Amino acid sequence: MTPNAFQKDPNTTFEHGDQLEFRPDGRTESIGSTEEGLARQAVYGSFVRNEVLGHNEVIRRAVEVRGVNIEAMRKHVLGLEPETNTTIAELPVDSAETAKASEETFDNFQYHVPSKVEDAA
Amino acid sequence: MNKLIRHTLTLLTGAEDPAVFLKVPKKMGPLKVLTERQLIQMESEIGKTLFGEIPKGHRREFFNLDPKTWIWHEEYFDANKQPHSITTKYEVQDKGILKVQDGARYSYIEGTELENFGLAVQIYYERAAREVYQRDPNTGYKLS
Repeated sequence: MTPNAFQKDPNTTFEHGDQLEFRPDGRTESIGSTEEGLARQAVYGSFVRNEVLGHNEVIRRAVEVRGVNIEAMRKHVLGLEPETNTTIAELPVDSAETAKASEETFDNFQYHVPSKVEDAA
Repeated sequence: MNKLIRHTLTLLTGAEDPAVFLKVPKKMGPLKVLTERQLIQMESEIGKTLFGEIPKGHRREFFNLDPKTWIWHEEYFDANKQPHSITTKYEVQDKGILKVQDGARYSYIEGTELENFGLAVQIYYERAAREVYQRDPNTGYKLS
């Protein structure tokens, strides 16, 4: 196997000399069960939320998403047309916390499902 | 009722008096139309229970005003029977959760206070979704 060309990024936590080994012959052919997949996603989502975004930002976004959703539920009960929500668009691109639910979730009703980092990744 | 219509309904429903199928049961009554204020009050009934027991003589409200604003309001009478009230507004801003209190005091909350606020909002949201709007808080689907 040829030496890995991976270069340490000064911003990563890798120690000097660490290399990522690419072993296509040794990888698994199975993606595992649904439960295993969900577990992996949970671990990944937790990493993204806490390590990349920062804990305070995670809480801030969670609060914002819940406010958006409550407003949407309120308007739905009141029979009002949901307004185009600019809050979501203002967030960073990888803000999967505020990913919009599929159109099937509600008819003409904007609802944002929290904690779906992995879905948007 | 027109004879032809009555006959048609009899054929469709199988009832001798099809008119009973057209009546709205009195129990159902007219659909109650709620205002946004009433919905917020219903939410606040949940919100005010999230911070422990309310001291005797206190009145507490905690509710979501709009997508970016949460309000905590508390009223009480002191030992001299003088009324007091504290209103705290939590604004969701890009930089964090800004806490604004009477007297132009404001600061971004952090640490335990932020943790507690986030937790309160989470419980408020889950309970309001289920108890006020009858929706699954995780998916938004109507609860069956």
